[in-house]
Amino acid sequence: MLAKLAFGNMRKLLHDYAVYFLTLVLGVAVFYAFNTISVQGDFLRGDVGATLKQVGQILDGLTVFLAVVLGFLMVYANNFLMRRRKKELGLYQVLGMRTGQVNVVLALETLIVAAISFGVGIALGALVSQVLLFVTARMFETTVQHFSFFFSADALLLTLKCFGVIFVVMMVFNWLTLRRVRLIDLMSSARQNEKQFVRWVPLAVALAVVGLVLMGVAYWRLTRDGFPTSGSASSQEAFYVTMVMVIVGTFAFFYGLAGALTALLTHLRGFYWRDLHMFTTRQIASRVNTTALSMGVIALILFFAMTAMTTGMSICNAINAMTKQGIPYSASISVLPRDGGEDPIDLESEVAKAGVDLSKVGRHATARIAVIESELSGEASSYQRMSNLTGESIPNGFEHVMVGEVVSVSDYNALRGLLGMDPVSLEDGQYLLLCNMDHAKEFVNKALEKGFTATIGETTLTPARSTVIDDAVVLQDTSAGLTPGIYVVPDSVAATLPTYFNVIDVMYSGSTEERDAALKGLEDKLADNLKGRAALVGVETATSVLADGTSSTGLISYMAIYIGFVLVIACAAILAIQQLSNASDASGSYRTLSELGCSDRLIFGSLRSQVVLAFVLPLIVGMAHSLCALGVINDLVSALGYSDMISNMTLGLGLFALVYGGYLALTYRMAHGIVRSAVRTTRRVL
Amino acid sequence: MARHMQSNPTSAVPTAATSVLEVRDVTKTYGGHGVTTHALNGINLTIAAGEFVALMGPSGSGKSTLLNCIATIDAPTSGTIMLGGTDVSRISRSRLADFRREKLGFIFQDSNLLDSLTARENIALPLTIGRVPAVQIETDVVSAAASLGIEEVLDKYSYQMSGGQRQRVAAARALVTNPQLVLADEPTGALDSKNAKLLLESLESMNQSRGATVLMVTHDETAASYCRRVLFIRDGRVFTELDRGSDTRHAFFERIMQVVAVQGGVDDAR
Repeated sequence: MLAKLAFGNMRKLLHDYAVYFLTLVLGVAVFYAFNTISVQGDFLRGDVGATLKQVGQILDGLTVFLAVVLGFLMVYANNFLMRRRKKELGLYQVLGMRTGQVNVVLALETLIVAAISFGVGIALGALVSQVLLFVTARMFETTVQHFSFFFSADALLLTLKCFGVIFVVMMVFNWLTLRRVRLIDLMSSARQNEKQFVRWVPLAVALAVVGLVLMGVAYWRLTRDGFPTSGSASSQEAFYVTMVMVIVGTFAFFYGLAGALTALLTHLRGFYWRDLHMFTTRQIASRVNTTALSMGVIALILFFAMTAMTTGMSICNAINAMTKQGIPYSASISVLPRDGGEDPIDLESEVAKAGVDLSKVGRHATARIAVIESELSGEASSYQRMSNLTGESIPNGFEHVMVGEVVSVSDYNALRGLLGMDPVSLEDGQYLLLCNMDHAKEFVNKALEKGFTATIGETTLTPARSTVIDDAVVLQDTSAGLTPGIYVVPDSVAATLPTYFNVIDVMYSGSTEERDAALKGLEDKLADNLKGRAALVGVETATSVLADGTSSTGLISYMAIYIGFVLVIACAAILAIQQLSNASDASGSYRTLSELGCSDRLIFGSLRSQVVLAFVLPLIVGMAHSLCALGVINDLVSALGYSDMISNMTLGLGLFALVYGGYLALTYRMAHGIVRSAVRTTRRVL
Repeated sequence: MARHMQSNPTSAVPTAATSVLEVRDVTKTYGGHGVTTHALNGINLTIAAGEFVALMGPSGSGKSTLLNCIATIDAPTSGTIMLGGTDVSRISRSRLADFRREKLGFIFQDSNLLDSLTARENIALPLTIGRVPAVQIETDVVSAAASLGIEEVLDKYSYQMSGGQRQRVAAARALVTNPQLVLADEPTGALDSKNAKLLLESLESMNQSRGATVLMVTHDETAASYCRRVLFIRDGRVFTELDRGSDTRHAFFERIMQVVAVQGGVDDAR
């Protein structure tokens, strides 16, 4: 009997709150699909597979975090539905059901919802994960080698655990709700819910204004100070103050908005006293008042989700661009001697000793990179002295940059030759500066124009050119080809400085795969042979650097999409449930309007305005926060030499718009259905 | 229904100039597949302009169905309902809302005020929907409120008012457009006797001072005794009717009681 009741209720709930069910299904599907990533590795190239296993482990942790967030939102949504069902639950008790039996009904309902949404979600997730495999392959710049339908028991188990906990928490909350309230409150709860929130209008206006001002000041502070990259305690503190201002401002704004909006619109008489504008305004106002808290939370979560998604995407693009810039050579072999002065290492003969004939691998060039020790200690950095000379301030993010690497002009020309570029010439007493970071170039060029002198070793040198060299700047393959500055000096000057590292750059002649294979194992052999003499030995091939790069971008993209998606569906689901409840609460009002002779066009127009505003208001606030933060983040990312952020947000924003807009459309359709049936139903009198 | 047939309701055949409402041979059948209920059974009635008429009958007598049909919320199975010279069954769906707003006023048992709006805004609602200029809305609302004695609650919300005040606000809302016919469905049903008296006196004076035509469905003989004429309906047709004539309200009440007793519907009606 109880089970039958639970089943009946479920059918009604699934019908009225399909959005809630949909969200559970999507949640399960996304959790499952993203956690199949370790299994996906089996279908891809070996090294990618290994990377994917690591990515999978990181995603496990993230999944737990997202489960907590999603759990909170689901419990909130569940409580919201429970509040609306108080009367029904009271009725059961009035009819003589014991509290325990009502609990059984509720627990059964939760179980049924859980079972259905879990089953459907896993099925959907299994399908999505097949598609995701190809997306993963693209993301990691490889191809699917042998495809067959796959299913991950691990992902299933993890999803089961997360949602199991969420559903248990829901049941506990249901139980608490039922225990806490008295029967009389349950029965009269419908009346209580109708109570309207009145506010003192001047206070509301003041709150909204204070909220706006706080947000404005916080934006201004963030744009002025940027993110606390310097790591000093005071800048950290200032950043926290900014964050608190944004949060407090957001809530104050939403709390005051309703009153302020009503006050403003009631004064626009021509607008207010026409059509259903009055009704729409009042409906939204009464609603924004009671839902200010959730609107604020949603605005902030949307802010976080949008920022995370777009930043993730753009960081990936920046990393990809940097990686491509960082590997001009086919391979680089480098060694950092422990004591470059007393015990220099002849890298070429060491490589030969390790059994690799470089002439068979391709063309190569050797360079010794020296170091200015005073620069490393940070006492008088070149950038600081440039700033003193020109009076320009050091660009954001470059405050702690060191220009300590020095290469002799003959070594540098050898590298240029390897890259097929013309050699540069240098007189005695002159230097050249290599720099390829857009944000720094202008600043450095100004200093060079003014004849910025550099003291290297015992010699003071003057610039040979008034601009930096930016065409061949990378001295060895690295994952980030970003160079704020390297001095090229006459051979005699370089010779006086201690060695920082030695490098051999190679350009392959012949197939990359074979040559990569020829260099395989060289790193270990060199490390063995030079044990005690070298601090660090590295053999990087363009292939391996590229693979590392794509694995980190892949990971970041994954996390960004995953976080963004889960947060967005959670927020959208809450908004949807609120809007649907509001629509059914107000269905009596809509019927009255219809009976008073209000056309369907006006009624549904009003409903549409309400639903759209409820979705768009927090979105606008969240987006404003996000744009401000992204602007600052963009500065940071572009400081790394990559500045085309906005155009690469499209995928993230597109996905976001699809999900959020989809929920909006679905909510309006369902609210439309609720109101339509209310309007169509004839009022029955006794 | 096709739109071209009734796009111009004024072209319909006009009836006697003084009659606001004419119900002719109206039937309404619910159900089908063997089990049918005849809610209205060929009912006829006429209400002249400026009348204050009560419609009485036991539960299931068909009075609510009739009211719904007159209100254009429901459609009769057969017969015609002429309202202000217009056959309501021939009004297109798209014009129905306008028709309802312009020609009819409603007062329900529960006042059905929109709880997010103040009394003033509730009363103004039919005017704003009809796009009356804001300045005129203001004066119309105040005059309607004055005729019902509710000026002091104009800026209150429905939950800040008493049940009686709410009902009078609803009456003001029904009146504000100066409709041809005000339909009141058990307007005193949810009120205590003191508030019921207040409301009925308001309706009576509204009928007299503004010349509003009112059709009130009620169970309550006391409420009916405020009217000028009482129609008794039973089994879907008019069973008998009483005219107050020059009787005092008390005398009229006694006559109504007699009819109700004879009708044997006392138990049903309570």
